[in-house]
Amino acid sequence: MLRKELVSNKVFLIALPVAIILYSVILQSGPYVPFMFAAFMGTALPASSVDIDDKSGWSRFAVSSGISRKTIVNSKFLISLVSLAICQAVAFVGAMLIVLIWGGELVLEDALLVIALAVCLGMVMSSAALYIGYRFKGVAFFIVFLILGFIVMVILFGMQKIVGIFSDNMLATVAVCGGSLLAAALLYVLTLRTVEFRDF
Amino acid sequence: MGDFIIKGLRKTYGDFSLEIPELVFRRGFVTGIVGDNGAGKTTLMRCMTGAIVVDEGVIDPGSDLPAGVVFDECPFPQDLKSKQLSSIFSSMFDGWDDSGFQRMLKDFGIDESKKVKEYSRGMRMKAQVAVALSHPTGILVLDEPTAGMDPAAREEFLDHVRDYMVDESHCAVMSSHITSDIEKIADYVVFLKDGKVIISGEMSDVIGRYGILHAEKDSGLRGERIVRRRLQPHGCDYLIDGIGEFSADHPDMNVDPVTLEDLMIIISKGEEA
Repeated sequence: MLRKELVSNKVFLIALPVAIILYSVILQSGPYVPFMFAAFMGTALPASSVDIDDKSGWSRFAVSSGISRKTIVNSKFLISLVSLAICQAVAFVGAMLIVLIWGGELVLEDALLVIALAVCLGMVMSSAALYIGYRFKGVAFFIVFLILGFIVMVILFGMQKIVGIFSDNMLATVAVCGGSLLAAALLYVLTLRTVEFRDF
Repeated sequence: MGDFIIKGLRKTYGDFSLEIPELVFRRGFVTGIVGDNGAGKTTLMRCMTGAIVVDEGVIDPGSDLPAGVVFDECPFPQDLKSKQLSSIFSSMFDGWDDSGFQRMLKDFGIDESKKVKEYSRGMRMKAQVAVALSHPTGILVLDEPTAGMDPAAREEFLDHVRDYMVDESHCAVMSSHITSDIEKIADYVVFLKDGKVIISGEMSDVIGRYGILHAEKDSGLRGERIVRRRLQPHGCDYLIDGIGEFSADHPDMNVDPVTLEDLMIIISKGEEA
C-alpha cells in the first residue's frame, strides 16, 4: 500500500519541493520560514489523498480486496511522514539558498529547533488532515488545506518571535514537541477508530 | 473452503434498509443478483466484501482468501501504466501472478504503454477483471462488470468468468442490468426489491417455475399461484408461480414461459396480485 501511495502521489512529491524552493528563494523570507512553510505544504498530500481515493473508489477496492483498514490508515500516515521528511529536507536546502542569495545567518541550533517544531507541527496537521478526510466524507481537500494553512500562516507571521521564545526556553520546546506528538498519536487512534466503522 | 454464507444481515441508510435473513453462495457456482436501481444489489455486494460495515448479521466468507472485485467504475490510479499497477498489486496481494496479469492484459488487447486514464470503458473493466483473476481469491464479486461493454467484449468477459469457475472451489457473484448476461453465466439467481430477497434459487428452477399470463385487461384474476400483476395500456400481465400446476388447473389459459428480463420487469414494475 505504501508503494501505491508513493507511485500515485509522485506528482505531489515532486511539486511540493519545487514550491518550497521557489517560495524560499523568491520571497526572501528569512532562513527559518521555509521550514514552517514546508510543514504547511507537506499537509497538502494527506489532505488530498483521502478525497482522491474516495472519489476514485480506491479505498473501497482495497478494503474489498482484503486489505485491512488499519493497513490503509497506516499507509496514509507513513506517506504523510515521508512527505514531511522530504519537505523539511528541501526546506533546509531552501534556507541555505536564502542565506547564499540574500545573505543573513543560519544558526544551526536555531535551525534544528525550528525543524523540530516544524516536524511536530507538520505531524499534527497531517494527522488532522487525515482524520478530517476520513471522518467527514466528501470534504474538499482544499478546505482542510486552507484551514490548516491559516494556522501555519499565523505561526509564520510570528516566526522570529517564536524562534526567540523557544531558543531561550528548552522546556517550552520540549513541551510543545511532546504535546504535538501526543496530539498526532491521539489523532492517529481517532482516525483508526473512524476508519474501522466507515463505509467505503 | 466452505460456502459463502450471509445470516441475519441488516444495513440501513435513511429510509432504505437491506435485510437478508439468509443467503448462501455455493462454491463451484455463479450467482446472479438482479433487481432494479436502488434494490440493494450494490449494497449487498459491498457488505459481502467488507467495504460496508453491516448494522447486524454474520457474513461468513468460508475462506481466508480475499475477494476478487470488479466495480462499475475503475478504481485504479489514473496516471499509471499496467507495469506500475502490477508493481503495486504485487505488494498488496500474496500470490500475485505478474506474468498471468500481463498475459491477460495482452489477451484483452490492452496496450501496456497506455495509462489507465487512456483506457476505454471496456478496457478499464477488463483491467479490473485481470487484476481480480491474477491473485488467489475466495470469491469473485462482480458489480455491473459488463456495463458499457459491447456484445463481443461482454462475451469475452463471460468466458473469463467461465475459465475462473473451472476450479470448483471458486465462487462468483455477479450483478447486472443486462439480464441476458446473468442468464448465460449464472447457476443461481437472487432477485432483490427494496432491500429484500423476493426470489432466489437455481436459475433453471426459477425460469422453469414462473410463467406469464397475458390478458387483454385486468379481469380480477386471483389465486394462490398468481403472485404479481402488471397493468399495461394494452392489457395486464400476471406472474404465475408454478406454471405446470397452473396450466393443469387452467388448461384453457395460455401461460408463456418467462425470461429473466420478464421476471425482473414484472417484479420491479408490477404489484402484488
